[in-house]
Order: sequence, then structure tokens, then C-alpha cells
Amino acid sequence: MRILVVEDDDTVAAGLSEGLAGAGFTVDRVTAAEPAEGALAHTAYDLALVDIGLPGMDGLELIRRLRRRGITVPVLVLTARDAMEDRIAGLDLGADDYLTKPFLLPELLARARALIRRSRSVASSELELGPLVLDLSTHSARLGTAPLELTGREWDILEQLMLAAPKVVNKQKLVESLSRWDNELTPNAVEIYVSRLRNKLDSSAKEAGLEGISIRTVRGIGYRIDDHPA
Amino acid sequence: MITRLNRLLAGPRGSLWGRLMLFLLVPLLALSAVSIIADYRSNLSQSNGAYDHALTGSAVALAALIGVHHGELRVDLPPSAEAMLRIDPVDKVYFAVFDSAGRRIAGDAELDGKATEDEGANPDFHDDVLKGQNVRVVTYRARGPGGEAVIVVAETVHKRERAAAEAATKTATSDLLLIVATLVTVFFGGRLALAPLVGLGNTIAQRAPEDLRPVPDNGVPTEVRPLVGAINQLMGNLRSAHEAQQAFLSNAAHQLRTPIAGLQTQLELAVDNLPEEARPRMERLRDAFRRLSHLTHQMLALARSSPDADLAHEFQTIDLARLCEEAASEFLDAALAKDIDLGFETERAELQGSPWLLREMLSNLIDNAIRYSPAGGHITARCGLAGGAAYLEVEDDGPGIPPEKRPHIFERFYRLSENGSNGTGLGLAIVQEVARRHGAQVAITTPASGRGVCFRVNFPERSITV
Repeated sequence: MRILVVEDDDTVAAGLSEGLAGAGFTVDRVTAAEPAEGALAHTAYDLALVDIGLPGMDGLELIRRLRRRGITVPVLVLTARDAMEDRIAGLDLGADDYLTKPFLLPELLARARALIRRSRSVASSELELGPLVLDLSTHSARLGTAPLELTGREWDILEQLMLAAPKVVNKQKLVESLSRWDNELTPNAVEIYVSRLRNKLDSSAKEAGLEGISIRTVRGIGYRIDDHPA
Repeated sequence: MITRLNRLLAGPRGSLWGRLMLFLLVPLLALSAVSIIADYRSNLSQSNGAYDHALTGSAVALAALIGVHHGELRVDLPPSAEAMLRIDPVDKVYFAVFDSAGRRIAGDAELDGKATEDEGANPDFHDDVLKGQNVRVVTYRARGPGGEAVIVVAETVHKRERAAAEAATKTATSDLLLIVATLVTVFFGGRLALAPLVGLGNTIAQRAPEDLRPVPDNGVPTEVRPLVGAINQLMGNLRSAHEAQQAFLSNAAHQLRTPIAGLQTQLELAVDNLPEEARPRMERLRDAFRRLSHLTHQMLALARSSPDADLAHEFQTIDLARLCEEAASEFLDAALAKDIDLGFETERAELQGSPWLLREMLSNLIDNAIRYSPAGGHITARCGLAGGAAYLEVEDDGPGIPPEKRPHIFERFYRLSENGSNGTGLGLAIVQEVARRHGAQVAITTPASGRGVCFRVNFPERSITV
């Protein structure tokens, strides 16, 4: 997977490049917005990491231009300014997520993976979280080498959790988004489905000899799926 | 000289009132003293005229009694007539008649030599002293067939003095009444006149410390305008100093964060790439740097929530329940790492506020609870509406805060314990500042279980927008 880092500070850029490379990404780096625009127009990157405070054209302007040209690469904004305007403007203009400097590498990697996962699920109709793969076209799931047999509801919930990870998914919103005209979902039902999902994920993990995937409950809010064991 | 006088009058507790009263009272008293003396004198001369007339009458009456006997002047004064002449309840009356040669032909010896020289005025009056008493003397020259006679009549001046004193007392009384009336008028009138000044003082005194807007000068009396102008200039200077400070902080934030991000990333990578035996030192370095990074963030947050930071443009409608949801994602890993159960009980609670600052507030409350709770603890964040007012609270079942330390915990850099937990001592100061900027109160209570502590932020009712 290929990531473009648009950052003028050498130390930050070097850290980002090394950290992302260590996590298995291919990293290119540019120091200004103009070459970034060209690179993103000609190469299919999976993600662009864009610093707002660039010399010359700033990061916000770069995103505005990319979106105007129809370049849909996911953009993770890095900012040293915490003013709300920047964040909102960035997200309104088509940035997909933001991170305030200084950031922790694991946090950055998790956010980057989440953005790539979401955009790939659209492009390749496969949703991945670590060893867990949902094939959206064939409606089949597997954990490593072990197949995962899911009912319709279980599938829906797992898809929502995987799309949101590493964010916590609000249980009420899960209820609302998965309720259909003919089939009302209740919070209690969600709990039951999640409990069944956990059992299935555990047994498939055992079968594949993997550490496992865990679905954590956040009391009063909802659930989060992690690709590391509880 | 005038400066010295001014300083003397102003003194250390110089009062405009004191000066006003002093400058009015002293001249008024001096003026009325002059007026009383002048009135006394004019009364004296006025009453002199009347009494002099009566005195002349006595002299003329005496003149009528002068006759010529054997070529010599004689005064035919029967005892009844003399008694008439001398009868007076108050004053003693003297009289004498002299011939042209100056010999006394009748009357009192005390008047010998008291006649005035003929200088044209007839009758001629003068003041004199007889037997130690002040007297008024009239010299009347009567020309008859037997030649010129000089009649001198004198009387003591008790009546005259009494009349003048009575008149002067009346004047003085009315003068004093006038002074008192003037002072009373000036006192109340002055109060009314100075009321705008007092009002201006109150307006300035009631201002919030961070309110550095200019004092409005409409309705301010012309005389006070220069003072208001000077105050506003001072306000302007303070405002621009604060703005410069805020701009500096915002810039500093910006400039500090990028190198910190670079260094932090490098340290994290270095830890991963080191052989096992070299790791502990680098891990300590990384942890220390995380603290530094956290502290920098806290200080900038404190600066941004300070009273002189301009937040108005950031305010928007916020749902505290959504903030809690975001915080769940942010703090779940930290809670899991300490095996702490982090839970939420949220209800929709909307208010007008700065999203960034409210997020900082909640983050600091949860971060504190995680830091100070032992492994296996429980933390619950709640939000909702109580009586129409939004509230936000974070409760833990950790060690709690002793009552005697509670008044201090919002102080900057105050730490509950000297070691461990790696707190900056700024978290609760930020919570307090953010609450203040939203008109909210922070209450510290002990949960019903008797263990741990609960921080509750009560927002004002008016911040709700329905």
C-alpha cells in the first residue's frame, strides 16, 4: 500500500516515513503542495498524509484542488494548529480525518489503516481488519484461513464495526442504521448478536491458530472492534 | 505656590467635596463678616441721624429759653423744663449754655470746653467721652437780640448702640441663614452634579477583570471626558498587550508542536529498533518526552482558555453526549491498559460553547480519573440536563481527594501526591478555566459509595438553545 507524505519538516517526515515503512507501507515524500498535487494526479496512492502548514500553497488549498480535480484519495490531515476552523474547514473540504501534532505513531497508523480500509471497501469490495476479511461482493467472511459463517445481522454489525474501527460505534446508531421497515432491531438484540459474533470470532481464531479479534464493550456507548486480543 | 496649596488641600485623602466646601465656606464666612460689620456701621449712622435730630430738638428748645437781662444773656429754665430735658430711661443727658465769650451761663460743668469751634455747620455733632462714657455731643449756635449763645447738649450713646446692635443681629442672622442655605444647596446640588462621575465609577468597578473594551463616553459630562479618554487609552494599551500575548502563544503553539512531533516520532522509532538491553534508558527518555509534550499541550490549552483569549467566534451548539462518545474512542486504550472499566451514562445535553475547550475539559477530567485510579477501577462519565441546565460529570472509585485538599486542587501545578501518576498539575486548572469561560461551576463531591471522587460541571441554564 502506497502513501504520500506531504510535510515540509524533515524530522517529522523522516519519522513518518520510517514508521509507515515499518508497518508495511510504501512511502513517498514531498515537501510542498505543488509537487504533491502532481504526484497524486499521476499515481494511485492509497492515502495522502497532508500537513496544513506548508510553505507556499497550504494543505487546505491542496485538498480543495484535489477534490476539484476529482481525485478521491483519502486524506489524513496533520495540523499544529488546534483552532476549530482549521479542522472543520479541512473536513468540509474533503479531508477524511485529522490528527493534531504531536501525535503517537500507533494512533497515526490506526487512523491511516482505517481510512485505507474504508476507501478500499468501496474500490475492491473487500474490508480488512488484520486477519479478518469481509468480501462484500460474495458476502463471505474469513479469519486468516478459517471461514466465518455469519447471519445477515451479524454480518451487518461486523461491517459497521470494521468500517468505524478504531472508533467506538454508538449502539443506538447501530440500532438505527440496521433497522429496516420489516425488521426492527432492538438494543437487546444487538447485544445478543455481538455476543454471538464474539463466539464465532473466537472459534475461527482458534481454528486458524491466530491470536484473535476482539469486540470490546464501552459501557453506555457501544462497541469497538480490535485486531488484537482482549 | 498654587501647587503647594493644592497639595496641602488635597492631602493624602483629598476629596473634591472637602475642597468644594472649604473654598465655599471660608469666603462666605469672610464675606458675611464684612457684611455684618458694614451693616452695623451703616445702622449706627442711620440711628445716629434720628437720635441726633432729637438731640438738636433739645438744643433748640434750650435756645428758646434764652433771654436778655440787663444786657446779659440768661437762661430762664424752670425746674419742670429741666426735668423734661433730662428725663430719659436709658441715657444720661447733659446740657450747658455758653455766651459768646465762652462763659457758661447755665447747665452742667462737665460740658465746659466741649463746644466745637464754629466751622460753618450748625448744629454741629461730634463724639466725645464724659466721665468715662461715650457721648454724642451737639453744639448749637443761636443768634438772638443779645448776641450769640452756644448751646451744648450731650447724651450717652446706649440707645444708639442698642439699636445698631439689634439691627446687626438681624443682619447676621439672615446672613448665617443664607450661608447655611447655600451650603445645603451646594451639598445636594453638588451630589446631583457629581452623580454622573459616581455612575462612571460604578460602571468601571462592576466590569469583569477581562473586559478591556473602551468605557462608553456618551452621557459622560464634558469635564470628565478627558479622564474617560485617558482610561480608554489605558484600556487600549492593555488590550493590545493581551492580544500580542495571545498571538504569541498561538504562534508558539504552532511553532513548538512540529519539532515536538518530530522528536516524539523519532524517539518512538528508536525504542523499537534498539536491542533489548539498551531499551530501558530510551524508554525513560521517551516517557519523559511524552510528559514534556503533554505539559506543552496543557500550557497552551490553559493559555487558550485564559480570560483574555477571544473565544466568541468559536462558540457553537455542542451536544455533550457527542463529546462523551468521542472521548470514549480517545480514552478506551488508556483505560484498557490499566484494566479500568470506562463507562458512560449520557443523555442529550446541548449548550453554546467552544468545542475545542469543552473537549479539553472532558479529556482532562477523564485523563485525571485514569491517572489516579488504581488498576481494576471504575470510571463513569455522565452528561444530561438537570432542571433545564446541562451538566457533565466524571466519577471514579479511586483514592478520592481529602476535603482539606479540595480548595487547592484547581490551582495551577498543584499536585495531590508528590510521586507517580505523571500528572502535570494543570489538568484541573484547565477544567476550572474552561468552566469559567462557559459560565459553569465545578463541584467536587464524594460518590454515594463513599469511595473516589466526582467532578461535576454545572452549566448555566441560559446556555441551552432549544
